[in-house]
Amino acid sequence: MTQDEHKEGIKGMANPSRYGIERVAYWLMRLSGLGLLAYFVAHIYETSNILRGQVGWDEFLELTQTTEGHLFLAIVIAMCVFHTVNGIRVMLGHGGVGVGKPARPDYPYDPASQNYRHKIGIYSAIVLAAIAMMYGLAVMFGE
Amino acid sequence: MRESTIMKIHYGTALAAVALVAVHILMRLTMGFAESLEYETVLANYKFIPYAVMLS
Repeated sequence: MTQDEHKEGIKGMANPSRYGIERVAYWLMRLSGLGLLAYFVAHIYETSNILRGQVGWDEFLELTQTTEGHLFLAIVIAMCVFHTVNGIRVMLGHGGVGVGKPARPDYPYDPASQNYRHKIGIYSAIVLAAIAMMYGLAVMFGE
Repeated sequence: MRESTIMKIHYGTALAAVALVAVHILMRLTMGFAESLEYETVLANYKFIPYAVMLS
C-alpha cells in the first residue's frame, strides 16, 4: 500500500473500485443485508393491512402493485439471491472450504483465500441474482 | 459465549431463514402472481395453521 492510499483513510479502504471483486462483494453483501432488513419490516407492515378487511387490502395493493412497485420487488429479489449465495460462499470460506492450504507468506503476499474459487463464487452470486431478477420481472409483468 | 458458538447460531439461523423463505416463495408459485395477492388467498394462508406457524 502506498503513502497516498494511507492518506485516504476509511474512504480508501471502502473504495469499491479498488482491491478487486472481493471489495465489491463486501459492499454488496452489506447493502443487500440492510436492504433486506428494511424490506422485511416494510413487508410485515404491508401484510398487516389484511386486518383492514378486503377494501383496505385492495387499497394498499393499488399502492404497491404498480410498475415502480414491481421494479422495487425485482431489486429485492436480486438482493435476496445475492445475499444468500454470497452468504453461503462466506460460510464455506469461514469453514476453510476453498481457501487453499496454509503456506509461508512470500512476496507479493497474495492472500491464499482470495483465489479463483471464491472469485467464481462472487461472480456466480451476481449472475444468479440477475437471472432471478429477470425471472421475477417476467412473472410480475407477464400478468 | 464462544465466538464459534455465536457463528454456529448465526449460520444456523441464516440457513433456516433461507429454507423458510424458499417455502414461502414456492407457496406463492403454486398459483398466479395476481391470484396469490387476492384477499381470500392471503386470508386462506393465515387460516392454514402449519403455514401460518411457519410464517410466524
